[in-house]
Amino acid sequence: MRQIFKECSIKKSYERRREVADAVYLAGGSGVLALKSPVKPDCPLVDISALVPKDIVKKDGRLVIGAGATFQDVIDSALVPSWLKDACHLMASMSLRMQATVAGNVASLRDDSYLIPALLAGDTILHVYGEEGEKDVPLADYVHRGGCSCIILALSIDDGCKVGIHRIARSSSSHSAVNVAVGTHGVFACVKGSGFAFDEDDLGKMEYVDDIIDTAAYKRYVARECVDLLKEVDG
Amino acid sequence: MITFTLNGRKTTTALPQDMRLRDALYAMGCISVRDSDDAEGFTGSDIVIFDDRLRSSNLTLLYQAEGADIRTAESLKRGQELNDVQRAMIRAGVVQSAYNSPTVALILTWLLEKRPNATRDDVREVLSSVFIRDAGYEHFYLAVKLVQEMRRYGEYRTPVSPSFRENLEYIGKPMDKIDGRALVGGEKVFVEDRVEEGSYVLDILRSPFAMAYIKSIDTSEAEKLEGVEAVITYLNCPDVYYMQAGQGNPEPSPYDRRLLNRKVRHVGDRVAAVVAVDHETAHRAMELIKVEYEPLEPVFTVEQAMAEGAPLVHNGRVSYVAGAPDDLDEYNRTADERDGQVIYQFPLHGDIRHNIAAGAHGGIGDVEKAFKEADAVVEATYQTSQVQCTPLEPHVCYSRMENGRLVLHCSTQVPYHVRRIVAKVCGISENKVHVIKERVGGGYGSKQDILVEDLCGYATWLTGKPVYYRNTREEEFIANSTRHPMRLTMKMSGKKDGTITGIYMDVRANTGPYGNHCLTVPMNASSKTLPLFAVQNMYYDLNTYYTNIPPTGAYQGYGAPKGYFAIMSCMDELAHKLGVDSLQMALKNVVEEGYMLDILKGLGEGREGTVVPVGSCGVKEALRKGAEMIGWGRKEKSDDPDWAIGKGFAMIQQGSGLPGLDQSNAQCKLLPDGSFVLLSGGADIGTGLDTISAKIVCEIMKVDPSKVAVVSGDTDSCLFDTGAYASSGTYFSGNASLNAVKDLKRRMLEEAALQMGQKAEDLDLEAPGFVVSMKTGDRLSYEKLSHDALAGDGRGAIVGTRSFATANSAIPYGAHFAQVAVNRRTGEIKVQKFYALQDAGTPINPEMALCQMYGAVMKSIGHTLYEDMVLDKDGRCISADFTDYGVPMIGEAPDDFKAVLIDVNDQYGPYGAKSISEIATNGAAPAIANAIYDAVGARVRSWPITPEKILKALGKI
Repeated sequence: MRQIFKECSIKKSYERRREVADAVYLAGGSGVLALKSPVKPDCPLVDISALVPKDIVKKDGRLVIGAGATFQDVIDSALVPSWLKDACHLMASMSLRMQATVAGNVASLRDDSYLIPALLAGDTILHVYGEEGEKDVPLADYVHRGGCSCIILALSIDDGCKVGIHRIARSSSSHSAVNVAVGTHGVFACVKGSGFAFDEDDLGKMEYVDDIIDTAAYKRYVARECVDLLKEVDG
Repeated sequence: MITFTLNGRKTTTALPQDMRLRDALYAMGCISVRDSDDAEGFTGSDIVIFDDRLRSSNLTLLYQAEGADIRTAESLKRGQELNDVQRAMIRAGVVQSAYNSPTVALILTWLLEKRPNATRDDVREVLSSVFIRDAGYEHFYLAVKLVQEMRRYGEYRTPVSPSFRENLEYIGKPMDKIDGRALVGGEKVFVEDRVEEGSYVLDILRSPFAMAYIKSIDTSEAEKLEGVEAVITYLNCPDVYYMQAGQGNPEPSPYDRRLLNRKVRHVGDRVAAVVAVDHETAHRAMELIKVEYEPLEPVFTVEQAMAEGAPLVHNGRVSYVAGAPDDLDEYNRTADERDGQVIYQFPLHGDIRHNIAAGAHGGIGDVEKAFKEADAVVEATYQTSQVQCTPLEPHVCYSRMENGRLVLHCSTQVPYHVRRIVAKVCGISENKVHVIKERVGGGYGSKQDILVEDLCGYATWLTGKPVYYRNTREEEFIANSTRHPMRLTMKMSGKKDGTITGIYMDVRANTGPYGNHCLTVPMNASSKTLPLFAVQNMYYDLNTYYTNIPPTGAYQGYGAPKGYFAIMSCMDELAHKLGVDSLQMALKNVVEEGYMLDILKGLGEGREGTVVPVGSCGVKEALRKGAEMIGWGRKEKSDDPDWAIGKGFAMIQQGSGLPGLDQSNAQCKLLPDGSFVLLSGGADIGTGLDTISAKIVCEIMKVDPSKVAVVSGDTDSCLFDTGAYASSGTYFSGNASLNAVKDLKRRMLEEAALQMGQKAEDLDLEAPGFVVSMKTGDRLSYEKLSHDALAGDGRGAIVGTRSFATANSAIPYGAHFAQVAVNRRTGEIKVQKFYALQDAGTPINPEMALCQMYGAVMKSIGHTLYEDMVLDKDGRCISADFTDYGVPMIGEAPDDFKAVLIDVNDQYGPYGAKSISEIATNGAAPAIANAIYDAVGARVRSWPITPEKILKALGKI
């Protein structure tokens, strides 16, 4: 039987995950429990769903989204700017949106991430719990580092900035080839098979690869085109 | 112990806490919670309301339910009474194969609780979670509207469809589907619901190689494992050659396989089958099987298979049941016994030593002369890809022994072919096999093939154990039937006035490892397209090649969608070359009623075809009406300069069954109380065939539907029917029902004449269930008529029995129009408008017919733009789940989507009906391809038409 841990605090959850080999955190579950998840079916789970905050509030002039908030919570909140709601809508299925958490999408660091480019463009800072207790980590650093063993507690976003997003996927429920966000804080993208770009230079230098859906040449071309399109819209 | 509230009641379960909630709920009796994607979170069949939110129960572990409030579709009914959403769904015609209909009813009920005035956008939002393959999405909006009307006005105010034939009461009118209540209510109607506690499972060890000989296989350790009942391999399986296509006997497909073969021919091919007490044991047993392979160089494409010296997929001994060539011994000189045998029932122009499984060639007139004398000639090659039917209910079978007989609970389109083939494989006579067709949770052609029943049935016959088998979703992709990929080279010539003078079609089909439908699918690419053209010079060359891709077979539309992609794209190219409007070219060259179809002579199913004139034909009306609806000839301007808008169309036809080959039988009984049971051999696969039979009884017997029950697809109780394929249901099985009911009426009148002391010719039937004398006005109730016939001194039960077979065709026609927007910079495509206009003769179930058109169009939009089975260099399918494969969801549905029934009365169909849904898969590919060309000038000649291909055609990458 699969080991499932439900601790009484974030601290204990963090410690549990460190002591149990291969254990992963479980919040929404739509990624961890899905077919083809990188998490093996017998992998121990540390359930943090009851421990992480879910509220969405304004704090110190920024939007703060609790790690347990789902995509749909974000869409339903009156505080959230439209560009971030649009980004959440990129996950086409409403039932998945009601289950998948924003922090879970960040932590998975998928190269077809729905949210990471938009959140990067929103100058997002993660509030995490780790070895040194609670601290803030810019999302850009988190992504650059390839994540960490910490628990994401909340996301703090510059909701006053302007962000445009453009996701290229064959259909609404397919993996994206390219997901680009352009905004006040710069140009960001994730490219299937290649990873993340943090500016236009990255996008140009990135090593694009062929995959089952698209060729490298197409992804390279369309990523550039999306940036141009978004810049034109932005004026 | 986990405690939660389930459908309003506190529930405690001791099931394992790490069990998936879906499995737990099903085990707890909530059978409406289905699994269509093995926890991919894609199809939504497993959605429940969890603490007032939609949630995938497959992506939830049981422990997470602790303290939760969970609702499933079981909460919707009050006693026997459906809720208003369920009732409206039936009325709207969306309850078809219905594997996830209860879940959709639950979701829409939840939506209407939150938003009683839910808008179209609200419905679109909640249905974003659900994959619907059969009925499309359009009438779900209508169902919600009906609920709102009923709540507001106490009645439905929006018609669910037009009505046809004013003189008839039931035929051509919307009427609740007779099995709709069971389907949307979540009753135990599918195969999985029949599996008894303690049944064994069957699991299959599959080949990792695209082609290899099994040098050795050692199953001894696996067999020793406790809980393993049997391990079946090529060494101990019956030495019986057969094929898995459910076609009429003798089949136009070669017998080229046994249950398990010494040579594996695709990644996923059967290597060993394990019968065990549970999956865990079976999987452990499979790990203990030692197999040594001799890998062989595979071939994947037609081009590779055609190449001189190409590796041979089949190199066994060839034989013929009839029509063997004189040089057969010489031909077999190089046969390799490890390859087994290939047995042709009759010659199909196959040449397995060159990887050719079948071929056909023929035509009319002189195409070469036509090309020479033409003002313009277009020659182009079109390529279609391998796509999958993706029924929500995967292939499944439950077999058990009962009193020395093998009983199979099947999800099949062909119960009688299942009986014949399983009996053959097991080496028993057909009376030892009882096939029960359960409700079919989606077939679309793939359940025309006997892909799992052969092995599951044999496993039970061998072991005596009840055995359950169910494909995983991955197995659906790698070991199932798919559309044959095809390469079609077209040559078409014309005159400046728009007259098409010659058409040549070179069809090269890829049948994969086995020859299921290897002649007939490619033949359909010609036989369902060329007869639409009133052209004097037409010729076709068809060749089908064996390769090592995953298996192919039947898929709704058969070869026609591929043929239409090629021929209507080519016609559009010719029209542009000649400077002629393509719609005018279509109208000028399309057949009309009475046109003699000489081209059919060579286009039989391996035998000589029957030349017949065109019968009822609504194609011109469909073309004209569709053109008017879409504003043909008017160039639409986009507000955004990056997006260009274009229009395209395709004229289309299909068939209604296989005249000269198919036969259907039915029987109708008058019961002692004056009600009726109709026994139909036809297999209702969700399309409403049983409702057609019921309506026929109601119409002739003048009783309401509550007096009629229909039993179908049970090989013990019903008479033979070829099966539900080739668009045969309405035409063949419907006509058999009509004939049987007419026969019953005749017998009832004869008996009544004796009971009433009158002449039968003076009697008629009268609502609500009387025989009435037109001379005296005397009346005899059906109840008394039947009671007296069944009395001790009566003349016996009154039963009507008839068959239907014919040489006449009832061909459905139509035209599909598309308007697309294409982004010049990114290649993105959006289908803005799609209008499907079809002549289905008299649509007996018009609301269901519309839904089938929407569903079929969505399938074909899928294969046109999104869906693709991608193989790696070793032949492994790397897009073997829904997300990677890319089926269209509600987000891909056209913004403006209309299905229109053209009113035409056919002379041969029951009450003038023809087939409806297969034809609707034929139009989207050419209509969309032509619209894309119209929009941006990019001619893409291969499926799927992706943004990347458009940009390439535009020279941007």
